[in-house]
Amino acid sequence: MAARNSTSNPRRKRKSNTWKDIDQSVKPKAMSSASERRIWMGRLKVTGAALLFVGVFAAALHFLPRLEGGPEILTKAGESMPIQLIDVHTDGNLERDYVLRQLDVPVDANLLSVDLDAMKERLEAIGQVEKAVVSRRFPDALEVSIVERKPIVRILAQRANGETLKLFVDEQGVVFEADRMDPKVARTLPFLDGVALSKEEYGYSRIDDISPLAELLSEAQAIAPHIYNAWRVVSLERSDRLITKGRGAKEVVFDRYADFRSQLGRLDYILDDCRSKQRGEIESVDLTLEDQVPVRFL
Amino acid sequence: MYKTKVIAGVDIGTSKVTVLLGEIHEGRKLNVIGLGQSSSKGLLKGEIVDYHLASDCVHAAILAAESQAGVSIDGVYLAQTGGHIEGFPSEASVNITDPDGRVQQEDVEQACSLAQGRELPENRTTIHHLRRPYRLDGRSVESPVGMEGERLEVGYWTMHGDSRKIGDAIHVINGFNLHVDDIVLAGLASSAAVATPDQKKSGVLVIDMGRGTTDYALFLDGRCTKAGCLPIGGDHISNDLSIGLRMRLKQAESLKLRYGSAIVEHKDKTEKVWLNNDFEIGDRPVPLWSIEKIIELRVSEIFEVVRKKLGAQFVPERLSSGVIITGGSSKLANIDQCAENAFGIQAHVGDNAAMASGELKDSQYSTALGLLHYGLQYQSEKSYAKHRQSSIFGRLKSLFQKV
Repeated sequence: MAARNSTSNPRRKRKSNTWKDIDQSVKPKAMSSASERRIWMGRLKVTGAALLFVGVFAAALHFLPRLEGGPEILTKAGESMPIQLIDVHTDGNLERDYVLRQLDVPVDANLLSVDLDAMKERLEAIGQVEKAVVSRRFPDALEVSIVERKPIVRILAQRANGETLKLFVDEQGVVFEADRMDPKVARTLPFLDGVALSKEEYGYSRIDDISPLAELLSEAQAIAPHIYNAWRVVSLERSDRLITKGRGAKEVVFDRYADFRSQLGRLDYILDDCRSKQRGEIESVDLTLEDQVPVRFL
Repeated sequence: MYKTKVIAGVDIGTSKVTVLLGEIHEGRKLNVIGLGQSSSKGLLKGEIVDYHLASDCVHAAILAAESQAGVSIDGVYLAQTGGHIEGFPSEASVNITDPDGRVQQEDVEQACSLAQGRELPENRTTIHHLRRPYRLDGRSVESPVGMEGERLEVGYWTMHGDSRKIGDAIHVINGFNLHVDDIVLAGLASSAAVATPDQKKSGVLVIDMGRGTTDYALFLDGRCTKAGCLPIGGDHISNDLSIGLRMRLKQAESLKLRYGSAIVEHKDKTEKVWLNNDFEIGDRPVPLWSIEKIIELRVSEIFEVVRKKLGAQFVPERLSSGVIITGGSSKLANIDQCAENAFGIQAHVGDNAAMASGELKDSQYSTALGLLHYGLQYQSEKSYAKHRQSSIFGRLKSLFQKV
């Protein structure tokens, strides 16, 4: 047991050896291969981080003056890239020249200075265009992709000044003007009847509940083109019926909610039967009854 | 501003190396974020006998833990075990010099310094100074500063080990380019994980039985008053079975795991079990009674040695929380009953439920978890001291001290 003389002896701390005196400096020879690998990986990470930092710093030094100079500098950089080619793709029949006219790209325009959003808006303002994508293809080309609306029926209307207006309706019920529609295609489309058109700020109001009609026309085109080609008018005047008018049978009434394929089959049979028996011209065929098909002759 | 620190608890055991990574937030919150394990090589009875093999397996475990956590380790807390570890009591006393008779901080520091200052033999190095409560004029006190008295006594249980062996373990960690922040006796580290502060307050003996060593730590009044390490463990049980029943060590190990019990459960001496259980050539019946008897004798002997080492410090009446057994060998059936027979007090097998959940509750992680606990404590104290220094009052205080 140790004791201390309370006043006379100066206070003295004694020191013993502890494990902390053991030298912990690492000698490379004592390292395992795993440890050396770890150290090298650590050094690589540090070097990589330093290089990245230097790279970012250098890039900042390089580009900062340009950004400070404002958009003019970027535009100037773009002056070295004049537009050489405007590549137009469309899935319909809009002509390239027409599209270029609508785009209205100045002759000396450069690739970076053109306003892509404005061009897209101009294209989508054309009734016939459903969607347009305008993009830059470096170094010197502008790429335009257009998705056109596919009309299923046409509508004849008149402007207030008496001018005839050719309108088309697609399968979503969108009513649009189409000056550039292929006349061959336009001629084959039946006219739509029994709908009230109303004008909106941009174009016309959409026609609701047109999908059964679109389905009927699509089915008829696919399985009975001879019947489809005879239709001149299709009518939505009745909410539960679809009425077609044309050659062969002056009026055919379809049930809007029944299977069109079977109704078209029955109609085809009746038309064939009447033709083979020379029953005369048909005034109307009503396909809405399940068991019977009332047919009236002229 | 506090910094997040990633610490590793490295337990280099005779059977396996376990590394647990903990992330310390703001010096007070600990999250376990990685675990790495590898089977030990180059170790015998907890001591390194082949530096390169030991390095390889320790580094593999650290690398696995780092890869799992995806972080780099900032500091290592290393468990220390082995037969070279010894302890002795050291005490000192000082007379109080203050004219008012009040204990000053300087008196406490002087007493502690004197008690810790005992010279160690050559090649021995201190691991821990485990302080017992202060005694002021014979009464036990926790913090004597400011109290009135004439004579202050302090006592330590000083743990020390072979500096070369401790150095070897530290250098294995250094070889991975990591710094050892602290070394902790394996038994103490395990105690931190398996014994609660309440159990330590009411008195508890923690025994960590590993494959090559058995560590123990005795807690009275919330403090560790004695700790030590015996170079005997689960391997010795297998070795006894191998010699006593004439079989290979591997067979003995398998038999111990399959049928081992720390007390004789089957009194019928004719009851036998098959050695290999494959009925091939070489398989033979072995009396179950013999297996259990051999194991009981060896485990009882280990407990008896622990009891002898504790000496007068072991007072069953002061150990209300009994004995907690942990470590790999604690999985031996009925080891708690064997401990109860040996120590005459209640005993149970501990787990890390107070500190961890899921897989980490298993006793094989006690030491590594305890190391993280020590690391958290160390970091908390460090950040508290730093915080105090950086506060306005701390700065004023240091200014006045300078004046």
